[in-house]
Amino acid sequence: MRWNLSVGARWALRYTVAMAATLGVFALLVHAVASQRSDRAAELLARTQAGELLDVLTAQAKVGTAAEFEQWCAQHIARRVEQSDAELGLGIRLLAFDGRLRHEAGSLRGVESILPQQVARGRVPLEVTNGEIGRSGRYFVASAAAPAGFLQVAVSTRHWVSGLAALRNLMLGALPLMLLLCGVTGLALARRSLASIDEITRIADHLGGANLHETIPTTGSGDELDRLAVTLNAMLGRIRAGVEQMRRFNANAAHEMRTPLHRIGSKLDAALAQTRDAESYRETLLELRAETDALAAAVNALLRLAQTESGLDPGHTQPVEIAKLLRTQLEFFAPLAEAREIALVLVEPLPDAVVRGDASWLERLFSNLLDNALAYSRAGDRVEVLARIEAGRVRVTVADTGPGIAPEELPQLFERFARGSAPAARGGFGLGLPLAREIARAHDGALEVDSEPGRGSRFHVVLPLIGEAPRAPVQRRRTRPGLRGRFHESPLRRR
Amino acid sequence: MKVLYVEDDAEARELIARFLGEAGLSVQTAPDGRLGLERATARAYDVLVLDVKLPGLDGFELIRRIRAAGVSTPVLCLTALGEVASRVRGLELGADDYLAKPFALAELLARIRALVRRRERPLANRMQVADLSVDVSAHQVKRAGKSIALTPREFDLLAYLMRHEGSVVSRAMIIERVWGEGFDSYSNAIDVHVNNLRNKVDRPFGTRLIHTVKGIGYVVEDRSGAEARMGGRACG
Repeated sequence: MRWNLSVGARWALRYTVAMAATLGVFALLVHAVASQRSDRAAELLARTQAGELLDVLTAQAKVGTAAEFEQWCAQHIARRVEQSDAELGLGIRLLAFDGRLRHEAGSLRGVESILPQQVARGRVPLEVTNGEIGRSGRYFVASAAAPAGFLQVAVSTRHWVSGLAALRNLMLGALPLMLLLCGVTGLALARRSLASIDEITRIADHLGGANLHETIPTTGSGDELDRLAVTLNAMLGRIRAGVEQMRRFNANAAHEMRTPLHRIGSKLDAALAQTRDAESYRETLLELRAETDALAAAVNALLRLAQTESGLDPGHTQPVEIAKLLRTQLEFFAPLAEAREIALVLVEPLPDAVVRGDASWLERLFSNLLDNALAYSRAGDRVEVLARIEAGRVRVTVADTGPGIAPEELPQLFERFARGSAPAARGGFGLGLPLAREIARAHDGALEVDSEPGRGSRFHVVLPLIGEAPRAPVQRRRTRPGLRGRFHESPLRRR
Repeated sequence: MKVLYVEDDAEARELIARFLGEAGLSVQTAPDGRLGLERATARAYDVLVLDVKLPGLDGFELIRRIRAAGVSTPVLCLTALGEVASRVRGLELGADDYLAKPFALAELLARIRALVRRRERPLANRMQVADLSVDVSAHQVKRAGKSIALTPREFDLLAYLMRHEGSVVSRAMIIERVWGEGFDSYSNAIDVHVNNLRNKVDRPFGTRLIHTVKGIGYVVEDRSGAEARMGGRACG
């Protein structure tokens, strides 16, 4: 069977068990100390009684004859026992030098007792021993040399034993009561401090897709539970932002996909509306091919984004020289820029910067930025690419003199399918910049932008360096072990 | 040109096999890895086209076993994009090229032909189409006896087209081999590059040798005499 106890009850239970253990140990300690002290008290009493009696006997022995002294002794010890508290269990005995019994009274009457050797031989004047006497419990017996023989005085520990018993009973009786009290107050306290957790549970219970706006009340006390509430509220905020972004993404994606789908549908309808010649059908089919290619490109870009988000495969990274990478980019885009009368400039000198990464991902990062810069530039504009090293990182800036980005559009710039209001030279799905940012992040870097409407935008890629490029071109161009099979075909890429 | 196409999706298998058949290839298919392995090792093919996700025996295991059986036929892997690890794994295991789904059938055909050509025609240092010649080691281009100066990338581009004389190379193939995988094959940049190349190699000489294949890519061939030499798909 499993016990389904609330956290509060469990806390109270544990607390009570701990308390019981503590009190139990405490009681045992008290008992041990008390019983030790009571033994000590009984021993002391036996010793002082013996000492006192010895003084009296010594004084009396000097007064009369031996017979008178013996008679006085018998009366005196009987009276002494009689006058003592019964609780003490006092017993007195006088022995001759040869150990023969002279007189006895009280608890020692009729009890066989042995005189300690040390006292009998006169080596010590007084010695206290202890032991059981019949059924009346433990006694402390002080034995000493006395006039005309030896003296023994016994004191019972009965008095202290009953005191200890009373203490024990008190503790045994009070402990359960104390523990009960402990448990009840513990439970009440635990319930009270857990009440705010119940509140958190209640709110978390009915937070869902549609209802993410509730927040957990905070007390401002800064204690553990308040901190928990603050943390959960911050987490809820991030989830809200993520859900909101996802919602916008879905709406944008649907909208962006709908447009080409609509065009495809219209072209199909127009082609089917009447019989046409083969060339006309062929024309339509090629247009449809181009439309579906564009859609496939968008789907591929989304997949690539998802792949990039899952991070670099560390087994397939390699040192990548930024200068070489940027020169290839310029070679690729220069003819296009020239055809569109845009000045595309790589600002020299380029630093010897090497980063660790996936060469084709980094290529895509920069080609997306250049593609974007050219798409938003007009004839006569200028696109500059420059790189510099700063604090262990390389910063590559792609600056254009295009229309720039309105400040209110900047926050959505890196969102999927979000496109600015500025007219672009070519259609696109607005996935290039989000992908570029994800690639930079996958390389522990960042992609930032600053822009002035009317004056142009600057995109900054910051990537961590792994060292300086080798002076001599040790590395062959783009050596990718996996692509061996494809490249033995041609030495095309030699510079 | 004999092709073995291993694909578990029946609809895709039939469609693609028909398309390749109409393009003049002799296509055999296999619906799963086990049959694929059986057929690939039983007969000699020019190219093996394998889908990576196969029931029974997956594409990677299939490549491994085919290679272990001593078959060196070029392998073209079809993968879903987003599986970068599997793509790299496929190439490392001995695939010769890969194509990410979704792809255009013309792209598939161009890549199959390129693989076959590569096998039939090993690296030539000198290539000639009509009166245009390219000397790779001397980095020299001549047409009608006249030397033509090209930028390094224009040279790479022309050499690549020349190597595949008579068969279409897609824009993606050109970009991958001349610039790298990180460039967009939908970019206009590639058309501008080809146009610049034409301005130097074709336009001053009257006869055009570099032809556009609309929606796919480019082809280098001499069409001056026999128009019939082409497969009939190209135009423009």
